Amino acid sequence: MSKFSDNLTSEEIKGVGRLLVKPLVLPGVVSFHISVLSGSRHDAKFAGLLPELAAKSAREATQKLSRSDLASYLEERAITMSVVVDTMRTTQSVSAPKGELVRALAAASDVLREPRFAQEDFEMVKSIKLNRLREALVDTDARAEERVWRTLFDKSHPNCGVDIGEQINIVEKITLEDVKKYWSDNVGANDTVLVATGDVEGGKLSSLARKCLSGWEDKAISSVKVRGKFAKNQPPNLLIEKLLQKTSVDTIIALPIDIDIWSREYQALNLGLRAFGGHGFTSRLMSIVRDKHGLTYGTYANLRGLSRGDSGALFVTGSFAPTLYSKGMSMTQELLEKFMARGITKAELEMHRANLIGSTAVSLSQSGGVLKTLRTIAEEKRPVTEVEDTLDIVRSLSLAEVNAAIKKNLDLSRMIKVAAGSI
Amino acid sequence: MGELGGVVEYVHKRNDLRVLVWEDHSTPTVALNVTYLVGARNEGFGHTGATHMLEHLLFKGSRNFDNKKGKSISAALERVGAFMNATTSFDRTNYYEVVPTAERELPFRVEADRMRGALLRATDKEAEMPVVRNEFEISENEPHEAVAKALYATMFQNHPYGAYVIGLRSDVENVTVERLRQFYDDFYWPNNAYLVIVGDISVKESLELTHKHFGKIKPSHAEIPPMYTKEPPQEGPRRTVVRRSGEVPIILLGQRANHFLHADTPALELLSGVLGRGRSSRFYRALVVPKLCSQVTVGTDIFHDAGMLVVNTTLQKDIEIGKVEKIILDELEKIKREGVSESEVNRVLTQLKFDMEKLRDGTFGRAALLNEFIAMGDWKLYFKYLELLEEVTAEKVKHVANLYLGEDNRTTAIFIPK
Repeated sequence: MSKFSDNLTSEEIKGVGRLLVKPLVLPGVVSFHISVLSGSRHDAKFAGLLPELAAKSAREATQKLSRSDLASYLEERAITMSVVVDTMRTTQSVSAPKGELVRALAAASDVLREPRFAQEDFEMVKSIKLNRLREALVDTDARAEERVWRTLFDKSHPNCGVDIGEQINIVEKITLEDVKKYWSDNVGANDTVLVATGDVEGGKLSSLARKCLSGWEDKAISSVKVRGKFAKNQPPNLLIEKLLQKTSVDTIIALPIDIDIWSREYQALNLGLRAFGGHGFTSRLMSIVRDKHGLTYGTYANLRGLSRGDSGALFVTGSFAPTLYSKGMSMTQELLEKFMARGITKAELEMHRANLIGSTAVSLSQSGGVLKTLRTIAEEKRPVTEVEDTLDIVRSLSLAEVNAAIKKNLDLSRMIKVAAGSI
Repeated sequence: MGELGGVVEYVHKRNDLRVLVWEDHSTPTVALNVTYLVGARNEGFGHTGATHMLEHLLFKGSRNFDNKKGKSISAALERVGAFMNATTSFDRTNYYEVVPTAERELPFRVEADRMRGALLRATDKEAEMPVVRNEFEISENEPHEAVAKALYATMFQNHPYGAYVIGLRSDVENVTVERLRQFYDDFYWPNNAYLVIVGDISVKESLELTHKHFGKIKPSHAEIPPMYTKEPPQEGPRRTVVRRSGEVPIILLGQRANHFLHADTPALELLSGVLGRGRSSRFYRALVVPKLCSQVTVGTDIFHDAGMLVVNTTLQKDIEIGKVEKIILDELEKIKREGVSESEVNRVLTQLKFDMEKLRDGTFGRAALLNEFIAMGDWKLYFKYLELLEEVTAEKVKHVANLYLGEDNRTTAIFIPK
């Protein structure tokens, strides 16, 4: 059976960064990501909200092309380009017809290196962001999640963040000058990563990358990983975000967590959590809370915030009718406590181990799954055999290791509960 | 047997099951999809949402995969890492699995068992009803979903598309398992289904496994109930308002259109692209750039029996609804009057062509695109659609604009935050 690392090109290009290419049979279509170090953690002044606003403003126009000219240039060639900012990195996500790869890469490079930052473009981007935040004010899921982060973490930890109303106030204060300064100070060839898949060949992309991405100034910023710093005071039993006229309540039971995601112990914990609340229908949460008791459409457990090496949290989420949420949350909590006390069974381990191994092959059959994996390998400086290495660990994990990882890393005394909706 | 674009079509002699095989050995996975030609279009008041409810119940148990005996469909598939689920739309219901090649026979066993062996127990229905109702409740939480339902209900007053796929809450809560059983017995037959097999499996093996697992299933005893309800022509503008707690207004403006296989559909797609696709589009420039709206899209929600061109926009807080609505209507009038440029048509055509190529992403992507074209009435259209799009001229776009963008053809649904 072929391995993911087969036919995978990896190259350190001097003066550019790390390039990873994995062709996939998708005739005529190329997808690539360019990612550089500079994320919300690199903005202390505006609670981490400035980098996204800056990146989206940069996406609007370049020194060479105005907003409307850039839009026409890309759309006439069917090139799609979007930008995402996470805690640590800014990523350009691009797809293009094979014949337009040169222009697509050049345009993506121009957006990052020579953004125009016109006042009217910035004002438009800002108005869109503000409106989306206003929409989030009445979104049960968004309201529950931001409350969790604010409650779990100490104010000195950037995960703590601010509430949505305050985010609106902060964004309103950001000026074009702030955006320009942020970009100028922070965005450059900082640990640049270029990954690609589809109808593309490594050698060709390598020479294009040299042409488009070399000679870019490195702003010498570094990762800002913050561990620990959880909130000290236990909040009341249940925190409620009240919203009007909502027909479903979003609930989260959360615990802070601090674990190295490249450790064997993390793989053990992850496997245990798949059995407890992974996606699919066979987890404990779904089979009991949904299938057996009919209380929810969906309930899951997943780890958030850990991927960049920070502290994060276990989120156990659920959606319930307002009349059922109390019962649903109690049942979920009971199951979580049982899981933390007794771990999983041998049968669950084997079931979810097989599931993880099989689903990896399935996810890597599509360009989205390939790109995500390539980026992780490139950004985190993992070996190109990362997929195989991880699967080897998963195959060798014992039940005792999984249950020990659950016991060690999940601390019930730090549990918080949040519900958002018309309660 | 027929062949087009690498897809070969067979019809099983015994039961008329149509089988499409798209061989592709580039990744070690196999996708299997069963499309049943039954969706919300086949429902009526009293059992709206029945197709969707049935889709849920078909995970509860069948002859050889029974939750109550600890042998569920989900467990059997998830054990091998399958990516699997089912979806219901207006025109079809589909069940799919993507599995590592080594496990390629399992989805055949599952889907053959589910086709005629569903247990459909009353206790399962009772347990599942609140699950489906919560899905309904989640969608009602979203202002965009709420106003979209209002748009469909107002435009389609006779055709079942008006009740949306999820159905009415009271029907979801009260439909009986006997009614669902009747629905199953009416529509879940091999002669009302397509089996789509894509990926790392040969045509020969695909057909052998099809025969092995589906070959014994008999075709329906009775004719599959035809769907004959037609929405009468609209004879004047319609308007509906949803007033709920919220922050920003939303306008959905639908222009009634024909069914998918109608000759005007490709031109309508190009028209919608000129109006609302990307930052070069007319509505983006007229509404988002001047900071009146935070987003605008224009799409063709065109289905087996009917459809609409929909302008979907979220207004900036405190922007007057009437002001935005007037700009939308002015743009529609302008495009009717002045038509579109060749460069606009070429831009959207290039984008649509690339979209079609991107749909082939992985075994699942290919199975999914065939599933949707089957539902529209002809899987082969995926391969012919490009040619149809290329035949559209700027003149033709202007023609369909005048044909479909009239006031009497219009339904406007507005979300007003309170």
